[in-house]
Amino acid sequence: MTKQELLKEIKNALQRDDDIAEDMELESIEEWDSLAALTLLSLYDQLFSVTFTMAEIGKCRKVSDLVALVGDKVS
Amino acid sequence: MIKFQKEDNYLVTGASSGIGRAIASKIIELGGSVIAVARREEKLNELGAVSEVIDLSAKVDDLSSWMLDLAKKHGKIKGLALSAGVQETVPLRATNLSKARQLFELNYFANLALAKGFCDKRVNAGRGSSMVFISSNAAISGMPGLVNYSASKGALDAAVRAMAAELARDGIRVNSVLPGFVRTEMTEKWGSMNGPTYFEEMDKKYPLGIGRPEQLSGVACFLLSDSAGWITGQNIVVDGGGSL
Repeated sequence: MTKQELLKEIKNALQRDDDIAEDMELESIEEWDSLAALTLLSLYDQLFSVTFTMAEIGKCRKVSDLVALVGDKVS
Repeated sequence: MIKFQKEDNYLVTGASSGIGRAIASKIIELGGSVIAVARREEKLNELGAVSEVIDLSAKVDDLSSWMLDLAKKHGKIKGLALSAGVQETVPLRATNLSKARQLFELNYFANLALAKGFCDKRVNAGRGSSMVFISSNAAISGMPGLVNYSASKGALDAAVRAMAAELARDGIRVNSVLPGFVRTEMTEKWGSMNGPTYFEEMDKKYPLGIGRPEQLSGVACFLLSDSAGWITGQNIVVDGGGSL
């Protein structure tokens, strides 16, 4: 999966109209809340078969941190 | 005081850990014999029960005939305590239908197949036989992320009432127990996933605190026993007041 494809998956998971960019602060994204974080956990499990904790997601400050979680699984 | 007879066989699924294991231990403690079913043999060996190692969700279509084989091998079965199940926290928006069906396969269809096998008069021990399904208080309380899991347990509870009505003429009772949050191997994993304050936070949601498997096993044994001889078709909440 490419980074752009992952960003699109995250955008859809957040049910957001506007695109998201890596440099965006999560706090600035209206749709980002605890349910969105839970959704992302499920999404990563389904897409990459990796299980993250809410604590790990909670440490993310920017969209780039969410992308970095899956490291080399995106190109 | 509930007492079981040594010649009475009780089949317990999910017997390698958590609530299932506590129920199996309690039945043995009260004098009954247990056919302990799980995927992990090493955990079953410590129980002092007859062990049957099987992945229930992989053999759903064969489970009813498997019950008949078990009865031939170990003798007729007096009761079922069906505790095997899986919980997945998946928000609605992230629901994958294929995975959702897999959860239903174990939580609902495997139990349905076992119940079907048990209602065969060549399998059950006749009048006084009983089934107890381990459901969840999620079947009656909405919680974010548990849409499909709650539905699978709700399906079980509804089936319990219909089965009870259908099997009453044969003297077979059918009930379910709806636990709240119980500390088990499975929930310990959630604790490590959700951070250090997870159990503390869960504890606050339960007026009597979160539960232990031993707090469910007594209720399950009561429902399996003749002491509950006039109780059928009931979904009994045992959750420390968590669903109040």
